[in-house]
Amino acid sequence: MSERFKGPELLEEYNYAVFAAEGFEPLMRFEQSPPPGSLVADFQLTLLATGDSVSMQEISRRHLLTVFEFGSVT
Amino acid sequence: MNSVAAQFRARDVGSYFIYTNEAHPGELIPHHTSFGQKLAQARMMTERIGTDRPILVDSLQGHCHQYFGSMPNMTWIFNRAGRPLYSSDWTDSSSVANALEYYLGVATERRGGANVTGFNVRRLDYRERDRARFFEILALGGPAAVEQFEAMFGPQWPVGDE
Repeated sequence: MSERFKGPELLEEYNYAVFAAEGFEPLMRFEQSPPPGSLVADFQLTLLATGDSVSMQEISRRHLLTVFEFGSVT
Repeated sequence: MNSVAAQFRARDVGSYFIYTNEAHPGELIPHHTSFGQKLAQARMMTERIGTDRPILVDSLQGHCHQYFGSMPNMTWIFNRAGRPLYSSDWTDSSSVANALEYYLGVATERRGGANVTGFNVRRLDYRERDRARFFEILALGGPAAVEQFEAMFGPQWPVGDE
């Protein structure tokens, strides 16, 4: 996993307080994201309804296809 | 996207929303400084915007979001083997529905004995730009969220073609 995923500074970089190019542009690396058909890392996510930790790969195994939309309030 | 989820649910398509960092933090919906706050704002999102899809909350550092490219409103479709088939740097329900119909068709062909293999496609999809809706959502964050966006892109955004 990339060094970008480590260290306390990442928390503040990722959760920028002000929408400005220098804050969010370094984070946006869609062109470097995993290509279609590739093996990808698994991640533990928190199911909001229950607080349970769930595996993204385990969720994928439950369905023929799984849609994951990423987003926030704003 | 809620309607796409409902449309395909009976065909063994799961639909989930992964809550990330706040793309346009402001006075009313600030940036995250704790996981508890992130959970609270995820709950606020379900109340204000509404979704009948399960909400999954990423880590405070955004490990999952960053791994998949950190775009503010992207969509990925995975197969049962956990491999991504489709990824878009912006979410558009028509594009997602189009992709789902295609992959469900491939699954039907495979069940019928077709010998198919994958190949890569690069294409540009198009979406409708709804400026009023965008600023309505942006304003939920507070005046600073709107001011910061306009400072970067100008009050006339969006202009031109992409």
